[in-house]
Amino acid sequence: MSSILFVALPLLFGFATPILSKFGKNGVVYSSTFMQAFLLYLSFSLLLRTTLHVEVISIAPPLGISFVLNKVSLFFVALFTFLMTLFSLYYIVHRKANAYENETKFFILLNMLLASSIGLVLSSDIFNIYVFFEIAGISAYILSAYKKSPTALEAGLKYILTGAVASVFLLFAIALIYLHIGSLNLAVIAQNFETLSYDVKVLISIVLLVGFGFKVEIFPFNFWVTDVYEGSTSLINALFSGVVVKAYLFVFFHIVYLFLPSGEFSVFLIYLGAISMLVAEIAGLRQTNLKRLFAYSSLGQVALIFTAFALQNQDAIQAALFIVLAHSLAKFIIFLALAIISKEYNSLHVETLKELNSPFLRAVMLISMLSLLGIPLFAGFIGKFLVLKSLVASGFLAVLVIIVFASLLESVYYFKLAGFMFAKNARDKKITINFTQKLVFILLSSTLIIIGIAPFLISLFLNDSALSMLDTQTYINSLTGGN
Amino acid sequence: MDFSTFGLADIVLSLKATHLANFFAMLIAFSFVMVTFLSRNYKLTKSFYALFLLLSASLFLIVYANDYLLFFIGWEIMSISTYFLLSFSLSKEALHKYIIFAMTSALSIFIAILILYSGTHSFLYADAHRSFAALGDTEGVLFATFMLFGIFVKLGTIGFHYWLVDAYEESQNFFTPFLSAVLSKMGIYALIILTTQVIELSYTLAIIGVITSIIATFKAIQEDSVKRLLAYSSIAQLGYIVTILGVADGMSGALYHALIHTAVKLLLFINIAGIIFITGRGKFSELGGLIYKTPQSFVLLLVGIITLAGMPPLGGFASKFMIYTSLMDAKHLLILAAVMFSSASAFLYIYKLIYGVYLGHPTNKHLESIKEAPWSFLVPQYILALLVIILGTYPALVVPYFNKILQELSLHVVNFSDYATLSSSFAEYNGLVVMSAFGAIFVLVLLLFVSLRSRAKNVKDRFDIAYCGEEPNESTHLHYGFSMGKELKRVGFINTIYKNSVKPFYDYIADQTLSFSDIFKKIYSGNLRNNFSIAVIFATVLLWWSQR
Repeated sequence: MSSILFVALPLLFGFATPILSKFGKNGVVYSSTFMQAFLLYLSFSLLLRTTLHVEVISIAPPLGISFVLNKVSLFFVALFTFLMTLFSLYYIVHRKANAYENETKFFILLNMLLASSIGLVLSSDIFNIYVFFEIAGISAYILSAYKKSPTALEAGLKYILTGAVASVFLLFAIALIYLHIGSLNLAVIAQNFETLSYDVKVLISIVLLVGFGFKVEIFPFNFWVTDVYEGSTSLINALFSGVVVKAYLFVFFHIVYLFLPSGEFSVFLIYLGAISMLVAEIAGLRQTNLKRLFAYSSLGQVALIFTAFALQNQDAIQAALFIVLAHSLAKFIIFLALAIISKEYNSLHVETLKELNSPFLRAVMLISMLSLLGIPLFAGFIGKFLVLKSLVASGFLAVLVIIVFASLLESVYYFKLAGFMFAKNARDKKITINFTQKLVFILLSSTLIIIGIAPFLISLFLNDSALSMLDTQTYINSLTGGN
Repeated sequence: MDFSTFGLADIVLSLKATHLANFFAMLIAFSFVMVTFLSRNYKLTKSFYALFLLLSASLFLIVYANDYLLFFIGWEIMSISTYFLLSFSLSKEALHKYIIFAMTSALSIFIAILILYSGTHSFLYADAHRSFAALGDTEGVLFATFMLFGIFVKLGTIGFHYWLVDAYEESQNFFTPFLSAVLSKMGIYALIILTTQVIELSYTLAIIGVITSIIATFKAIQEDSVKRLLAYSSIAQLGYIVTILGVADGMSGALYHALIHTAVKLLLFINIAGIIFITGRGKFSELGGLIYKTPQSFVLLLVGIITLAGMPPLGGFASKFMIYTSLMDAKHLLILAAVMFSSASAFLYIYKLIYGVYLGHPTNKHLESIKEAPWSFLVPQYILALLVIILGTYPALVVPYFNKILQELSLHVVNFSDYATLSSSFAEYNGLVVMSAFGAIFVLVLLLFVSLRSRAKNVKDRFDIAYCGEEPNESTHLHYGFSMGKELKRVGFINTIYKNSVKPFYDYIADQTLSFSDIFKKIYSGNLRNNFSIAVIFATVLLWWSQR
């Protein structure tokens, strides 16, 4: 039953928000945070239960809604709820100084975003995926244009246009699939996909790639991303790069694993990921706006995760999950810190870091940057190392060299930033950080360090998750009821 | 520790205390203690000490690692903690230069060990040889190239020394001795591991090493900054070690020279740190005539440069002896000649070091009122001087220990009879005899000098330069030590060394990368029309491609 709760509760909350707001402004914020904390508790209690295998909930099969909660989707659900709860905690403090106007609306969108991200991960029905794809998209468009400044509106408009194109392609793919297979259930499609003719398979996979390509921010489709990041507020960017992209990435590869288990297409995806990473890091070298810079870095990291997933073996997926975790936490720290910096200094030029008068912020930003770079002792290293290891184990030497070269470029601009942070010309005004915000930062960065030093704490779970993602047969069986 | 039970396949981490590792660990610990003496003279923050300890821990991790994965982790932590340590004093440009080179080195070693891993799916040193044999030809070459590239960048082998000299010059005086004495040794350690456990590199390595030492020697001579001179000297000395590692049976010489180089570079850098501490100046053109003010430092530096030059009777001779004889033994006469040429040229900068700082006339008014360096600078120097004197008298003192290392690496051991006699395959010398003879001659000359010298006029005023017929003022250089080696550029090939620099090359690479970056940045300008058209073109090309 719990898998329904993960989607239904935030959705319900989203719709109930107008009513809740009648009880006072704070009511919405606190009750919604409490709800997210409850989901967090739920997901972690499931995580700690050793016997969890698969939980399937189907309402009116074969055409109705069906959710599958297995280890890998649970990993994503737990990650999303964790980040969302921290986000709300952070926002409780943030709003005292500068709350978003019309908080009711803001929280509707926030909860819709959470519900649809979790829904994307859990759905086992391609049309449901499309629905959540759209809900996530719409709430994201509005959130990115929320500040109503010219850049924010530009960002929102660009987001809407690309999102519309993406959903057209996805809908086209779904139509093609339905035309040829006559079912929308992932399991049924996966069983019959082999029987399709070569041309149809190619067409469907390309259309799917284009549709999801825009959303997973992969190379020839990701030119809009930096603008959206620049226009949206830093807080929202934390959600974009911590939650939304990760959900799309998982769904895309979930579908790829089911329909096209390894072969030429996945080799192509591996190279596509590596090239995306290289392009993003090259383009990021000369950025002077912090938001744009970290947007490029997000593109690079996402491309790395993309490559890891495309390898389609257990080690690589485990590695990908490690990076997903490390990247989400690190980018969360970075963007939340940027939110404070832009609030205090009204500037996000890289030189602003020189004047940053807050040892605490410098420290947590440094930790997350080192983790993103993949320096040992931080979580990012484990992920990057495992990806590269499984790359060589599968014999992709060229890809290995490309990725390492890209990380070298990444280190060039990250260490430039780190160099700015050592500058001694801090502003007189010291940034004070509230205790709750500090707690959020400390929680995130200590997780990065703990996982970096002791990856074996979660590696076994991630390994099982990777297996459950790779083992499509079990997935199909659990949906179609055995046989 | 085997982590595969935790779902991390093929990851086995283990530490092993071999004799080789112990030797390098001893060098690290010893240098650590020596530089710690200095710390009381500098106001260092808590975070500096924390990072310094982290750095030392990572160094021990490197030497005691028993697999390439832990080795790499140690290597990377070393690079990063050094970066933060350097960040306390380096200029932005030098710091950036350092980290780019350090990351390049670390990542290229990373690629190399991953390639090696693909051989037998193991990171252990014990499997390294088998892994290498299992690689294809291309992979083998790639492995060697990336590994050597990474190591050479760390060693500052000529061509990759671009970061090193600046980092040495601008690093804190407290930290420079450690940089030169220990951090550069890690490159040597990596090279030893590589050549003994994985592949034989022989002649290539010897040639690279010798070219490095010749070029670095001449670059050193014309430097005006004392620390830069010592940095180049460090590169040159490491060049010798690289050379000798490329020769059969050169391991003992390499280990001996590593030991001597650690001791002597600690001594020299601490000495110079003391001078900079008391005078506040680190350039030859601003120093001079310090012998009367700081006699103890002078004598200690003298011991240091005699060792550095590899002259008898001190310890430096023993290591040079090992290097020369094993080169002769291997019949690499051309290399031998080149090494000798380089060591002979090294006398020029070595003399400049003592002449420019301690002898001659004080250049600067400032220098008249200084006192001897504090005891915390002198004590480590005395200990080190004692060490090289003992090694000079009993050069075979360390040979039994080296033999254990050599046995462990299954190499030929060095003959050993008694502690005073250092012997190689066809030559031997007795350190005790040499030391006594030199000692006797030294005492004799000293007596003669004291009894026969005419009474010198005691100069009260710096400008009181009798008989020179000029009237000097503040802007006149009273000391010509700083311009030593200027005329060397009249020699054709030395001038070539001076005129050419690697800077334009690296600038070119940086420019090219940045202009690439500009091109890619243009694509990301957020023009949606471009975005969509590229997407459509991409999809079309894919479709067309799939039909082939």
